[in-house]
Amino acid sequence: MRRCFVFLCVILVAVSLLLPAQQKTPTIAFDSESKELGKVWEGDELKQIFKFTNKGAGQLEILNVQPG
Amino acid sequence: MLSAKQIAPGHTGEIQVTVKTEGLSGPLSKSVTVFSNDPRTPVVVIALSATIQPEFELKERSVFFGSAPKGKELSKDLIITIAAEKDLKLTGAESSDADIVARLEPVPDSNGKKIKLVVTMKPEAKEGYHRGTVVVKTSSLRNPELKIMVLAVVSASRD
Repeated sequence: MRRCFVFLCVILVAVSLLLPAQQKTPTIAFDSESKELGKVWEGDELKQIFKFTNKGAGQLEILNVQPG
Repeated sequence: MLSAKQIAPGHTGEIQVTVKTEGLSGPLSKSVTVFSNDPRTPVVVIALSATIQPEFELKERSVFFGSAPKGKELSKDLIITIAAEKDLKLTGAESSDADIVARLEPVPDSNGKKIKLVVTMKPEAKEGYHRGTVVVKTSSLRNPELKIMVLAVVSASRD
């Protein structure tokens, strides 16, 4: 009976440890986080696209994009 | 500009950063902070940098004559330098204030790359505060006009 109780406790602890690891989380990964455009002429409109990939297992949600 | 707010696993998204460079010169750095539900990296700062070269170089973008008595003509010169790589011209100069006159004069031996802008306050200028803008027209599509602010205070004549 005591062995059975200890076994059950071990199982419960193992399950509680494994559960968070199995949660599906997103991972944001940018191809590049900075771009240097070199010399440009005054009056030019600079346009740059930053690509990113969700390398995680969960849905990635962009909450806010704030110009600095 | 963000392509999509929700990105499925394995998929990609884009953030387009746009920077206008009118009136800027020298090193430029702009950053954008991206907040996401990624538990490991909830905040990412992306940055764009460049060096802005002016097509037209002016040491000052304003002319301040200060306080002067009525009847006295005041004049100031500004040298405008055209970038050597550019085949551009200054085509004219005009003032928004009737008492302020602006004209362009070529600088000798500069191969047309340096032009003197002469800004003159007429002696018959009315008493009071003068605030005008001199607009220099150019052949540039990027910068068709250069604006120079002119300030002066004309006080009562001492005579």
